[in-house]
Amino acid sequence: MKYILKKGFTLIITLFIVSLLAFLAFQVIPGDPTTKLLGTEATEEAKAELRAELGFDQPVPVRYWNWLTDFLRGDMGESYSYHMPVREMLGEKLVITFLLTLVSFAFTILLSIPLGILAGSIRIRWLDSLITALDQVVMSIPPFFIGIVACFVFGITLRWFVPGNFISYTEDWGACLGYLILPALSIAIPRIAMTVKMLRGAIHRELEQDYVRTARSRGAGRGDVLRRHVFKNALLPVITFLAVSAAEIMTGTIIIEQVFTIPGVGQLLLASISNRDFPVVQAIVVILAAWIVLVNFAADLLYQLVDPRIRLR
Amino acid sequence: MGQLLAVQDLRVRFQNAAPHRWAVDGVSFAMDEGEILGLVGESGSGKTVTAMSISGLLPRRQVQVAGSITLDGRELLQCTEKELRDIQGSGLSVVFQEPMTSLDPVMRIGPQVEESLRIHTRCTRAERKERALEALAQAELPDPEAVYRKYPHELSGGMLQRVMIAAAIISRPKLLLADEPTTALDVTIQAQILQLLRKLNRESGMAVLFISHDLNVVRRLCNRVIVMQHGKLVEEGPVEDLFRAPKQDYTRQLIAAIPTRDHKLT
Repeated sequence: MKYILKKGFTLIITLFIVSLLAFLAFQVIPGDPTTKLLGTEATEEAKAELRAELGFDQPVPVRYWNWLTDFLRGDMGESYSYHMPVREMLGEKLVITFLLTLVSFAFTILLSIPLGILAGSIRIRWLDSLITALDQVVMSIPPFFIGIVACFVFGITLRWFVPGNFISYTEDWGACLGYLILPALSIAIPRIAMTVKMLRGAIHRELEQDYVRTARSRGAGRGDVLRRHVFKNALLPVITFLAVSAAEIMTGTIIIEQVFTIPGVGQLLLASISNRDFPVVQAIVVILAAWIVLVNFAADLLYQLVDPRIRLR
Repeated sequence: MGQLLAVQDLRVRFQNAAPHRWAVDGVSFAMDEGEILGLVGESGSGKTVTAMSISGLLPRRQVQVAGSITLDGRELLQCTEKELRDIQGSGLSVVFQEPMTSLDPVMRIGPQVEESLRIHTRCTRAERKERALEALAQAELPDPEAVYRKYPHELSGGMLQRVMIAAAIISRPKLLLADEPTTALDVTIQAQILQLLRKLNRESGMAVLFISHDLNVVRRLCNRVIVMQHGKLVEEGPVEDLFRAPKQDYTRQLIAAIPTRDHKLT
């Protein structure tokens, strides 16, 4: 309990620092939103007037403070380019991106653990080498490439879906999830390959441990040793890795949303960065960072739950 | 008492070793039921490989084993893997050197102590637990109920070695292979473990093959001792004879290596 409080405190500090960095980044990088808004031919007076309207004339700490307190109240500011509350703009897109992340994460867990256990248990040497080599190849394919190939094969050739089309969950949940399967798999496949490699390695390492010899000295067969002793020990390091995956999958959606033209946060983020639409970018960055920090926090707690050795501290 | 174990002309060679490098080279000895036999030698003398051959724990694909090992009338080297597993943990148990790493770190003590019962008998869960508590008590662990529910990292090295012993005796084996079981423990705990082994031997008539590099430890526990060097058996006899009149130079060196109170380190 004390541990959770301590971790929770660290979590808040981390989020605070992230918000500060997200805010400061746009004070440092070149590019003036007023130029974007008014065009290159705008007069200096008009620009100055707009800056004052947007609050740019105030000192940075004050602006940060105002932004932060508004943000905590749920007011993420107003987009410069669209003149609508960021919160409204993000709502549906955020849900879509989260759905994509969750579906992709579910695929990663559900496929990588059984496959990793299978890969770790194989004793036929040539088959093991073949799987390892194949795994290495799959691991190095970038998700956007898998996405492009998937679009071509399932969209254009087999016509299972219309590339470029998307049905939001607000219209039809089932169809929306259907449209998310391929992009989710595109992100998940290299992740799965990485997890399989890791789990296979962990199983091989655990098989060398003394406690395996002890179990064998009691007459336990290979299957018994794997099921009762090795798998649980081997899964421990994989849990942390999967948690990191959950975070990286979220960032992976930004690119894959472009490939499958999914109207998620990714598209909005890229558009807002080039428009210097700071309130939108800041909100998205902070939300992404919060997700990453929270997932790691969850992984810490989960690790405590499964590994008795660190439970006490 | 009848003969329990007979090892005849045992030769062991690792697959990747040079053609004539036998880790164990023509070793023969026998053990009676209920006997405590000491097996001593320096590191690399082949004592552990000998024990592992008897226990059937050498990886069959990487090791070439020749000769004959009979336990209770069964030829172990002719057994299939399945037949061997039937003997491991029921007729023959092993206690290893490192109690800290020899137990599964994420499994509670109870199921680990019961493991050989789960594998070899049709005992119900309640029966297994009852026997596990009994074995933990026999291994002189205080509060067996509490130990049963603990994880290995919550116990000290000495307690873990008692747990290992409890797990080894739960199936009432005829032979216990103890491979340097006290080496990783400090001296007072060492003495307690030796006493425990002696008590278990007396009470249940379980034979113990006690492997050690420390003649002093062997002297306190065993009646008879065999000495190995470079994979060969060099001397055999009652422990006291060995101390009084060692026939081999090597044995003399081993005896001389025992630190005494008169020896001052300079």
